[in-house]
Amino acid sequence: MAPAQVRPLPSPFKRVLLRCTVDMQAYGQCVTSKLPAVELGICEKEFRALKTCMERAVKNKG
Amino acid sequence: MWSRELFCKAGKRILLPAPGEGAPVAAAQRLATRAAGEFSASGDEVGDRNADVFDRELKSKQRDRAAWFMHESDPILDTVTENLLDRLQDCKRMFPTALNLGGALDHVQRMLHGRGGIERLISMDTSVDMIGRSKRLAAMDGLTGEEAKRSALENMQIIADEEYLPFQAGSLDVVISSLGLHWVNDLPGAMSQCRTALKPDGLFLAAMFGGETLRELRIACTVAQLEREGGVSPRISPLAQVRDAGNLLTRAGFALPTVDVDEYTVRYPSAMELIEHLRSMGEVNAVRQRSLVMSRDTALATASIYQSMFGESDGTIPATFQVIYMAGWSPDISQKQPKRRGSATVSFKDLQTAFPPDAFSKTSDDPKSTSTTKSITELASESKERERTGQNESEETSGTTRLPSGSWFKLD
Repeated sequence: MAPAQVRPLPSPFKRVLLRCTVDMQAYGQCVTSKLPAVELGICEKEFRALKTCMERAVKNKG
Repeated sequence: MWSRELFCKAGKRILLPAPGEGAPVAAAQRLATRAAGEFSASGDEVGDRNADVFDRELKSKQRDRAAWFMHESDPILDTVTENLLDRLQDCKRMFPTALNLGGALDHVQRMLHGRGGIERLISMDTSVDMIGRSKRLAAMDGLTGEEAKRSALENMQIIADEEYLPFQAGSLDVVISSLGLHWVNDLPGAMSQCRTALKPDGLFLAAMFGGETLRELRIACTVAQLEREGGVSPRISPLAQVRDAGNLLTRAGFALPTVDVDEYTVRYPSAMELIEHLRSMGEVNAVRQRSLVMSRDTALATASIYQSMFGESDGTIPATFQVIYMAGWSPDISQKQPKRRGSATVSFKDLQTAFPPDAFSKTSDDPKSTSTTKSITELASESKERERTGQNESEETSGTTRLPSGSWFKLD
């Protein structure tokens, strides 16, 4: 609900959000399904996939 | 009492409570509130000088930055300020001198429109740039003609800390704080100083964020940290609970306290916009014990979990803002006091004379009358009859036996 005159800066994080929606969803679903017994590294595989996507998104523009 | 043991060092694993104790989201929330620490007022004295939860210098620097990024019209700040200033019109009194405590400073200034008969508005904040912004707004108000006559508002700005109020006792008529008190370390002490600075029968109006604010963000942060780091550190500042608001007011010495709560849900395209919005309002974390590092991994995990746990069907995420509106009056002899115990002049037995049982019964004695037109006494007498005689009568019985009138209201 940001006012129309403010445009968000094209930050790397924003690029990641736009490009890696599939991986983000996969990771999010994994964690949500494991609630409430979330432990360290319980969704490691999905996070690795998300992280590679993020690095790709950040590297390709910069 | 604020306790530092509530924080856990990173690396220590915490297991959430067993699934049987409730929905997973509720369980995560319980853990998150425990980890973030619930702010509650307690202690023998009014103020608590040892409370040092927030880094005030950092907060003033954050507000400096926010002064440049704050939007002219912010949906949350506007709504809350409008609601708060509306309360000024609920009483017929005029309040010539008003203190505007930090938070949504210039929103209060801009939306006042002379309500409550305020002639002198003193805006106070710890941040220099916020005060500068308020000054520029006051200078920009180049009203001409009728508008200038209507809003003859004298503006003054000072840089001071809410916990060390620089006002003489009995010098203010009303203290307004729109979302400014939830970063104060010693809240009971600050409110008590406000009460001292107010004249007798002066008004204290405050709106602050309550415990439910940003609960989705808090849950997402906690779960993400558990999965990525194995430990939890507070990302959301502790906020006053609704049940403590009344206590805060009475502890500070205010009479006729009133508390009401409003919850606003704002939708954002993603977690990124939410954080940007919070930054522009100056609501960034300034808890002293916060972890200074938020790794990119954890931030990414938080955004993903927020989206999947709370995301709506159209891809937007909601964020809750719970606002507690508090109002209190500084004590004065003109206010109504509760009566002394034992000074009652009316007894409950007098209710019988005031409301005799015959007053509710129908005057018609028609035996074909349906059960819905029976009076209370008749129904009561019927059930008593049934108990006494042990008969299995259906409820549609038309036979009515009346006990002596007044038995329904017999009080021992």
